[in-house]
Amino acid sequence: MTTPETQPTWPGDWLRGVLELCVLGVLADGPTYGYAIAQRLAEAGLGVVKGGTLYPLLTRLEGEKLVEATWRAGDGGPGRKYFELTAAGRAELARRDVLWAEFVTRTRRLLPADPDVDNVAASNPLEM
Amino acid sequence: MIKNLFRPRHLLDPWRDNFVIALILRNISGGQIGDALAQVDAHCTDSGEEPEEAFGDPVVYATSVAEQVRPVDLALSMSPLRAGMLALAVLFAVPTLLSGVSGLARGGPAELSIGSLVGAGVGTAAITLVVRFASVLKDPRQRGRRFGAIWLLLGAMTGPSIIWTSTAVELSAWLSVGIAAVLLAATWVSLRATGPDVVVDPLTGDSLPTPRWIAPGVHWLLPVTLAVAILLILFMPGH
Repeated sequence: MTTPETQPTWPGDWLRGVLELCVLGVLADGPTYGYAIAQRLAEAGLGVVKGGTLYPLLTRLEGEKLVEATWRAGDGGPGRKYFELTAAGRAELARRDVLWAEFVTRTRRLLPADPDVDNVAASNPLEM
Repeated sequence: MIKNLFRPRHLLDPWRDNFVIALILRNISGGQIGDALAQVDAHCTDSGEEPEEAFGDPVVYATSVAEQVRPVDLALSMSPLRAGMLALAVLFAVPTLLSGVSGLARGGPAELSIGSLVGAGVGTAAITLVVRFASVLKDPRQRGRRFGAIWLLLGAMTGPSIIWTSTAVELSAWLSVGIAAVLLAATWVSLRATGPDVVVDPLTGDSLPTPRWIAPGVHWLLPVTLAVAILLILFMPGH
């Protein structure tokens, strides 16, 4: 888990590009609600994803039938909207998972293979 | 009652007021607004954040939400027959009421002109046609036809009254006011029973508070306009 001290500031474009895939990945573990998804993303080291970014994304996934949502009454708390991957969502996650791995591999090939980079990253990975 | 214990924020605060208004202005349905509002409430309760902190500016957030859901088309949601019935009631009742009030002010009968009766009939037909072909007029490529339809409506309702001013029917002023009052009351009740779309709690199905000016603004538009017209008739020079 990434602690606040080691939390890097990711470029906004990176997060925007990968957030949908990450949300699908979180939902692969089972049905959950918006705030819990935001917490999982933060624990994974992606930083704080604001509600204003997360919920429209979940609504879009719902509109694309990749997730389905149901409201459940809270047990002594507020009602929550639970999101769950559909069969189409699981298939899309598997497809994007493969694509993402290939994308990372190809991107990495373009970056300098200077061993010093790895050394610097190992010593102080978050202040590069 | 339990819901209210956990959701005191549903007594809308300025952020939620602005959020709901922005969604209403983007033709988002009451069910979808209630869903978005409940998500804001749940997230803020869980995170302990204020809406401004978690979701940013309410209008910007409403725009993001509206981009992801399908807006309601009010014209497409009403049947042409119902639109025609309501139009006929209002277009006949308004000149009947105004001529009745005018008759009372003069101490004479209500005089309905040929033009006002023709206008009610033609205006009803025009409104029915516009609602019938709303899907065609909604097409952005049909901008010319849309403007044409608006002018057709206005012309159909007002033109005949200007052209044919001679009296077609004379009624007792009180009878005229009574008929108009019944028609307008029936129209008002009918519209009030079916709309406007209310914001609904997704868990309970209960309607939620709507920003205060929205519902009265829709329901009282015609009565207030008529009241102003009646006052003008009563206090205009010559009466």
